Amino acid sequence: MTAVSIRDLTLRRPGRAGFALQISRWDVPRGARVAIRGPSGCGKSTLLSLISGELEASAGSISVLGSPIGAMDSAARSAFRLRHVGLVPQGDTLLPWLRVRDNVLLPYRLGPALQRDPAALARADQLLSALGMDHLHDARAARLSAGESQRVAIARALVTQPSVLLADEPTSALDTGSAERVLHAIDALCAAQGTTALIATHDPVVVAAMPATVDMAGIIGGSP
Amino acid sequence: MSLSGDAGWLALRALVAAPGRSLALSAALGIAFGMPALTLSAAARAQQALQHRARETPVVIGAPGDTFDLAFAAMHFRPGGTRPLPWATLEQLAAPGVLLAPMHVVHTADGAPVVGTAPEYFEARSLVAERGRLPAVVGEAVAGASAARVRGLQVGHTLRSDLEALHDLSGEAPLTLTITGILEHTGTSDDNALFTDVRTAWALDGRLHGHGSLRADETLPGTTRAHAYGSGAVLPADTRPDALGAFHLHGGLAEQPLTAIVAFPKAPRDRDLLLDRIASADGIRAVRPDRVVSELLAIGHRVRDGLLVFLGLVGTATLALVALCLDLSRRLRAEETALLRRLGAHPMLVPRMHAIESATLIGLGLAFAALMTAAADTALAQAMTP
Amino acid sequence: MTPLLAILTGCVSSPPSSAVPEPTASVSVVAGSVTVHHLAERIGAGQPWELSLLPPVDADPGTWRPDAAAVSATQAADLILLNGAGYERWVTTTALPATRVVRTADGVPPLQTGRRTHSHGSDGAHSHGDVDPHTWMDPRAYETQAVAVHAALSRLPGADSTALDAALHALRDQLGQLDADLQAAAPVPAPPMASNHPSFGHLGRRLGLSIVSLDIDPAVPPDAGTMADIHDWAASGEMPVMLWEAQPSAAVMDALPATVVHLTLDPLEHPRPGRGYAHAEQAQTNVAALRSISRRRAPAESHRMGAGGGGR
Repeated sequence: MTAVSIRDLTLRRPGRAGFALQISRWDVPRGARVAIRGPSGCGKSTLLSLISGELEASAGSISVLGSPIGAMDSAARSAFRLRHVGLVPQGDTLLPWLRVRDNVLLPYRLGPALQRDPAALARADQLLSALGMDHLHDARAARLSAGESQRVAIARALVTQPSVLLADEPTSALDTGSAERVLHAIDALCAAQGTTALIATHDPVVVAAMPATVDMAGIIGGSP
Repeated sequence: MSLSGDAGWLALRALVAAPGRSLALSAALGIAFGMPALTLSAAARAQQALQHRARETPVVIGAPGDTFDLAFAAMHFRPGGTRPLPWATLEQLAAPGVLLAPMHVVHTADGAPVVGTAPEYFEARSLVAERGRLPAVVGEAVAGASAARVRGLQVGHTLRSDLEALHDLSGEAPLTLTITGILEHTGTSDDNALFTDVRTAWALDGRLHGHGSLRADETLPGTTRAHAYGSGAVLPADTRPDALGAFHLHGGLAEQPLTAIVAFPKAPRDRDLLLDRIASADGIRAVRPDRVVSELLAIGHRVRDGLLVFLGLVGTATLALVALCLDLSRRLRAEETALLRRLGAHPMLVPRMHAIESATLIGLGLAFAALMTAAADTALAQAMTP
Repeated sequence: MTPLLAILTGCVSSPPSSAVPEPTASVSVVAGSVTVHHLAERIGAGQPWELSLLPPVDADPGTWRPDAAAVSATQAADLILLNGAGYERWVTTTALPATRVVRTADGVPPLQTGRRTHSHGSDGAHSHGDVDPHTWMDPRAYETQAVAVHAALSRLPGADSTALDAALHALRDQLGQLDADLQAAAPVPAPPMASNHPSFGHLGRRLGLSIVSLDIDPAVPPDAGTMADIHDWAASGEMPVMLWEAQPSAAVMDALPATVVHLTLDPLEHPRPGRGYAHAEQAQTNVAALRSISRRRAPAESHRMGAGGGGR
């Protein structure tokens, strides 16, 4: 069974004349942990946004966990994403006016799809600990460094035990040693939870740390 | 959690995270809401107090002159501005259906007007001494509640009359007033005055006097020289009981001056009879303070309406500024809201969050306005409500 | 007040009461002197109000002052009757109602006197004003005061006007009779007359008598200056008559020229010892005293006569 299944996908973006992403067929099996490699601007981030449902395809279909994203309305897509997809967007993506733990648990504040329970609180603490952020539970997010923010964002993506993790350059602000430790942690956590992980990167460290790698060119190239 | 998530929690956390900004915005809103309310309430209180006092001062009789001066001199003890009437007028106007209270307000003591009057005034206004008693002899005074509080006056204290007309040393004599009582609080101008018998006011004029001042080494019982006389070079008249026997009026009683007579008719018919008698008399006239105050309020209303328009404009500008501030703040936080949407926030979460933030600020503003208005209104009520 | 009278009246409790008037819900009338109290008592007899006399019955109106409690009670009265003409000196510095005070002598033409300060008895020095306040000595003036009292009482709530009118009528009759008696008793032609205290001016005016005030204490022989005045006065005519408010001491009488006839008149300010105040009755002793001058103008007769057995 596939975690992500793409068929005859076309994306045209208004205002970017001539740019189009076209994928005729791409399947990601459940539990796969894949680094998507490619140079900047090749469409890695766009692909992750299409899979998460943030972007709508101009044509074709994307199914996540067997559910066609394009058939859902906006509210259903949001609820589906919240419930099943963990997202690590590029850059600094914390709410600066919340404390670290509240940022990690933020998904539980965003809709009725998730129930915040003691287990979630415990998971948040475990994740922070696993990512080397033990001492910063109660720090205000605004005071974190870029690298610390990225680790908190990873914890936030994993705290809901998503079926799919979509991470866009999750270690861009980390030094090589830290990046390796964080990636191993991600890999281990995903493996433990059975989470399918798609990590867009151009960093060889990421590529080296992940069990599988696929070239963006290969995904597009797989098109007819 | 509601169907759209914890919009309230997020909104409040955002507000609490920037307390300075939140308080400044709600204070600005509070002022925008509160000022017109405060103005209206203060205007209403002042109007009430003026009208109440005017109703409680049915007719004021005086020498021809400015109507406002006469009415306000009698209602609120503003010294000066009125020409005197002879005491004989009061005796001529005496009638069974009218209580007439003489009033001679020329002097002050420690800044408070000294109202020379008679027991009829206290009766007509139902003024009673909360402590002590009303004046019985020349040199005694009863203090209004506020006049006493402000000056820390107690029964038995003395204070010296102010010598204002130093250019006119012909007759005016300083007098040591002994406080014999403190009146109950009334919420009217009576609270701010010192009341003596009209003869004490004449003594302040120099029209009633004894044979001498206190000697330089003498003091009245219970006072020190500095306390009773200050550093004044002029020694006050001796009003001790032994000295009072030698007091005499210069000129006959009938000629002694009054700045006004306040008439308290028992029924409208008595009032009309009195007004008719005054209309046909020479050299005196009657003023109905309720009418004077109505005229004044008509002017006051125009001023208030103008002020309200102005406050309305200021309020609108403030609201516009607050709206701009909120909008700017939203724009600055656009990335945050985009993130919430990306993470899977319910589509209504962000609008609700913004609505709750605005509502909280407006609510705080209203609460601030309500507190401000209530506090000011309470203070005004205490000062002005009978 | 003279010391003798003070001692005598101090020994007895004579009505009217001199107690401070109690404030009550009923109509209250306060009199400022014995003379107006008498008028109010006579005219208002049987009326429903409470009548009281403010000063003690034997108080000296020149020096007595009400205390604060008495003033407060008086302020609450419905009517305050004063003799007026400056008699109640304490009124000058007392806080009284402006419109409930009636000075009954206001209708009596004022009688100017010389201003003098003097002392008598133990009450200390006091000064007489420019006007003689002893209006009640003249029955017609007292009648004017009675009319003023009647008018004031008639305005009080609950007044029985028929009774008031009748009482006034009876009083006027009595005063008219007294006036006639005094006129008949007045010595003609008038001898030189003096008084030891300026109390008899109104009486003198009514009877056409010129009375010099010499200011002599009836208990203490006069000083040399006063004696010179007395001799001048005594030499001004036949059988000079010295009017006394109270019986003079033997020493005083001996000090004065032997030609002087001493006559004690009741100034009618206070009740007689042991009795209630009765203006007409007491005034009759003055009628008798005056009559005695006319009877005893023969040179052989005694020069020293007095009312009520006042002669030596």
